[in-house]
Amino acid sequence: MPSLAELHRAVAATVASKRLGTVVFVRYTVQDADVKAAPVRLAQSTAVVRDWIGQKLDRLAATVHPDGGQVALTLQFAEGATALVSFAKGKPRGDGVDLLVLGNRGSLTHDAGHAELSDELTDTALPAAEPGLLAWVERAMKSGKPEAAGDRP
Amino acid sequence: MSEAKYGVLLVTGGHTHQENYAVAFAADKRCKLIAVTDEPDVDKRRRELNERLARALGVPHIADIAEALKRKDVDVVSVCAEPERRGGIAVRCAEAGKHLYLDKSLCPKLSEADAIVAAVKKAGVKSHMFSFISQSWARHTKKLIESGKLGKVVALHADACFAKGKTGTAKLGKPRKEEYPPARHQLVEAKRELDNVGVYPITLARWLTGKAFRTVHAVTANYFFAEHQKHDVEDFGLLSATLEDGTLVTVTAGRYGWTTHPAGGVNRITLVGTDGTATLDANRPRLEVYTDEQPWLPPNVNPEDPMGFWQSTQDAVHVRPKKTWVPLTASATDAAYFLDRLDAGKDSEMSATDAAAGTEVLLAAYRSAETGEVVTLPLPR
Repeated sequence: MPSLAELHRAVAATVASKRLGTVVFVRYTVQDADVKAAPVRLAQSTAVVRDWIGQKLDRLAATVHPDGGQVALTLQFAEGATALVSFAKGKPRGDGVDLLVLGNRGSLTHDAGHAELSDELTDTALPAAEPGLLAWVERAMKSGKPEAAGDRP
Repeated sequence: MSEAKYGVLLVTGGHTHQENYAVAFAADKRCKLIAVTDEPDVDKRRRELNERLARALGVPHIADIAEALKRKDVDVVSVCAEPERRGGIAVRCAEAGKHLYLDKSLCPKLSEADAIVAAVKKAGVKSHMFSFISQSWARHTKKLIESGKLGKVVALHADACFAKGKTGTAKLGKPRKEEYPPARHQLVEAKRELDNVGVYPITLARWLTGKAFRTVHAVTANYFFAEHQKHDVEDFGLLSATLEDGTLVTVTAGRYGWTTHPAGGVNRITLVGTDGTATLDANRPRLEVYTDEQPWLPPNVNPEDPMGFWQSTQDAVHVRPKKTWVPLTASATDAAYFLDRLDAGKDSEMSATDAAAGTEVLLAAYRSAETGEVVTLPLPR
């Protein structure tokens, strides 16, 4: 069964091919039953999205449900690209990732309907969250305010 | 003997959504189109477009709305004036005792939205703003929530983007700066798309949950189209918000090009509940059909409407329908929904009051996009 890392690599390859033109917006929603995983999964997803967009992340804002299980990050990049990265507590459907990448010449989508039609769990292992990005996500989740980059990645 | 029991007056004609709304009313046996009208001092182009639609529909053109509203055979007014004129006209029609069928979004200013709500209430007329709520997938979504199968909805993620416009035209490289209050809502080449498209998922979220928006954070920093960039109006926006019970709402809305989608554009909502998750999609369930027919190609650019806003301008450049995705169900028209509500003596579930709440969220979003901060509702009056 394809892993989440393979999905990310496939998206990266499509972005690199320039078929979508320049990436302008990404919506990335990940579902996980473990609410404690939220900051790490968000930091990992943010890093992946940042790399697809290929711009410096300038600003990050978090909107958090009172139960902590639903979080949306709004990302603003230096050259104008934006992204919505969300964490949803719950049983993952498919590989648990819902993805919309909008380029200035095309779009890419991946959702549960495109994932493996299987109850078998997808391997969601990813590289460890970048410490600076994880701290930034946690700070935004705590403050509920937009947090500028400063000297963060 | 005519079966029509509702006389429908059309305020503003060609190159507006009236082209679609008028056809929907005309197709309903309960209706008779009375005339196309407008404010008497509209410019020459607007007057010609009004006269053009009147001719196409075979109804009179009445140049002065005051005269048209005096007619006893007018029961419903379909208001499609440009956003900046919409509020005053809607109030006028309500004061004349006519039911209101309103184009979206309601109007650009909070004071105008409040005035419409007050006028409707005072006159005791029914009102409705065009929205997604009459579409079968949206009503299915509502039923799913009400069934309790998902438990309590704690997050709602909605995307509504129109696959129209020539791709790859905007000059990329720096973030767009928002202004507040937003101006220039509807130009020949561009509309403010957070308002124009974002109104759908925003009002849908409120209708589905029955909860008011409490906080809004929005960004309108990126461009897809040179037309929007030229006029400094956004073609795309995103919003992260909370409702009064803490429910998380995210919205993406805008326009992203003719060739970016197999149908009209992404249009869906993901509900995350305490007991389950569901994604409801306007394009599902569907058939997918692949043949040796010529592939779909975008139309030539119509200089009168380069982004494909209006039916007549799309017809003029022979826009072909996309046929790869075939929907399984067809929704009743939004006009029929409003007529059903009138028949039942009930107000719409997207009344002027509901629409005004959407205006307030949109204004909060523009305020947030301008300041970069989270905006709390209700907005100060």
